[in-house]
Amino acid sequence: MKKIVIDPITRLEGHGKILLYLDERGGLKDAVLEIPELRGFERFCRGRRGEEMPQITERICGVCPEAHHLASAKALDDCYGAEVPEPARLQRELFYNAYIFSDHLLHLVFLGGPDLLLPEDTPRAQRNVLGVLQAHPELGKEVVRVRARAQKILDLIGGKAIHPVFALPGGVAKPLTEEDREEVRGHAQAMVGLAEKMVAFFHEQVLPDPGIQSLLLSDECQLPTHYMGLVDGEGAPNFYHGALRIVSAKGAELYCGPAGEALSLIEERSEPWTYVKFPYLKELGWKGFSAGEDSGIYRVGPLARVNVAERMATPLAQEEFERFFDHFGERPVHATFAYHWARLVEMVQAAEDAARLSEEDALTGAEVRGELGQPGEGIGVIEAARGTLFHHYQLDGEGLVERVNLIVATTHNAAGIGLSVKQMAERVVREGELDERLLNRVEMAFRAYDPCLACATHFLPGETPLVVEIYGADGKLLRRVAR
Amino acid sequence: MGRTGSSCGVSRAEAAVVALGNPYRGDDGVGPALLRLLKVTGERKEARHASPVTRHEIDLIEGVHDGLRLAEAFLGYERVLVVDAAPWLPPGEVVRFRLEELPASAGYFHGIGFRAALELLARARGEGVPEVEVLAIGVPEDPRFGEGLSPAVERALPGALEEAIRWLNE
Repeated sequence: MKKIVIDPITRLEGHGKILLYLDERGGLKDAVLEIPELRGFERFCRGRRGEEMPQITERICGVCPEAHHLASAKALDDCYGAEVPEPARLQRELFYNAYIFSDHLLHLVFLGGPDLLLPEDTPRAQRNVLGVLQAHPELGKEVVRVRARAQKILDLIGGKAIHPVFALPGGVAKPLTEEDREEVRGHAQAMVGLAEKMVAFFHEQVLPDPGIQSLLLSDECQLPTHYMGLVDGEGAPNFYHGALRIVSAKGAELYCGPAGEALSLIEERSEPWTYVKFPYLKELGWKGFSAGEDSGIYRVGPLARVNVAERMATPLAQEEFERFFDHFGERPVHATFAYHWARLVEMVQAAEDAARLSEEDALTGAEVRGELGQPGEGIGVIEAARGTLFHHYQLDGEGLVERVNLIVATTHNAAGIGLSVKQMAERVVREGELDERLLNRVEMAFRAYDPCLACATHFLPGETPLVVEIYGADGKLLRRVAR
Repeated sequence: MGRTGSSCGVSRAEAAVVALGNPYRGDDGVGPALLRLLKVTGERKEARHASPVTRHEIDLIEGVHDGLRLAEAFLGYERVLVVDAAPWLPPGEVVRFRLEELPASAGYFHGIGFRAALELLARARGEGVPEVEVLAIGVPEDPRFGEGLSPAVERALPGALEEAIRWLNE
């Protein structure tokens, strides 16, 4: 038998690691999460037919293909000036709420589970998904069961569970039948049932924990930034469409208007020491890696969306939204760890909204494609589970792609993630020393954001390790740790 | 995840070949390329009686996804062969090994590691874990966007196909 030597780091080069930069005294100066770079993507797309984009872009990311698929379809609706008929819009929204539910549920219980559902002193060997299942077997089993039902909605509407194929410019591929509706309705009701249980579980078993309270309320865990997210006409978060709203760190409205136009409000900062670009609000300017009202740094994702919202769209989510803000006693909420709780609020809305949409008469309507006009420029904006996602295309007169620009959620959050990691790590980094406590804290900081890393799309070379590199003031690598 | 029951059984087959990789990123798509070859082999009329792809009930599955979703596709099978690109092997080299030989790091950066996901689902559903083998095909590091395989990786396909068929016959 041939001996196989596999370096787990190989696949990760440049695909997701945390870089810590020290100052001359050995203290922590900056922290950066390296995220995947889409090298050559724009050139690859140039000259392809616009209609191919929903299938191409959803393969960029193995974590949220649903978000790319629909953001791309929305950009194409805009490129062709197409009105999406009501039945098609309802299909897309229902599909999208099932995706948000499924993704948030996975994160709350299993990805963020070691931070939320296990005591902080849990031994490393049990600080994982299997430890979560062992500690909460009944919840774990129900989560697996109901998540599979949400996946069935994705399968049924999307055509394929992993890489959906249903959304087309101006609509969707085919109408749903009444039989389909019946099946979807049953799944959506199960989602609402689990969402209610999750809320009760969170309040009974998670929130009372003093460690969790400290992560939510202590001064050292607050990161005041601006926030961005889509809202509907009533000011509730909407994952699929709406106006883009930006509020400042003090809660003042900085922008509320067409989502596509918001691209002109953002600039990207390049730093010589990393290829990661850091978006910021142009009007406020780049003030370095600092938080606060004067900084241009903003955040997206669940916490941002509840912070920009006036209310939630559904009754149970509204109740949880009120409990959330009552707990903190202020708006916006700045605790990075509150991303998890905001995720729960949103998960409830996604379940309730999926159930509501499954009852809409027009869901099974036959008209599923709008008329396409002449191809041109278009922008599609959607709320991926991790935050605002922009697809911006320019098509030529033949409908071929001339230009593509994507801004993904984890890019918006790049500066915020670095600041959160720094905040959690700076007390425990001295002279390049790394210990278990630091690694745990670093993990907790970035995990709250649920960053999307394309490295998760592969099986080999095994489980994706956490890699942390520490650089001295002279730029030399002092230490590299992977586990 | 596209699932093709090569011999169209209504119930799930006992074995599955799962191909990972992005066909839009050159050699990264070697897994799906091998899957297409397996499908063609199964569909060739003259090979119908001889081909293990049709003789055995197997499902051919293509997908790129995080651990849990991938693991969901595995449960219910007795045996699974995963085909994936391997940047740590010389381009074109083909190696088959058991899942247990993969290193598993204690932590994870994003998503659930595959082995943990498989065990999680099996325990939660009270099902057995399938016997998983991996067919790794060496590719150059850091594939760029583009379609098609490089000559070195393309040349490895017949050998990889033979290895996959050998697995089916075991």
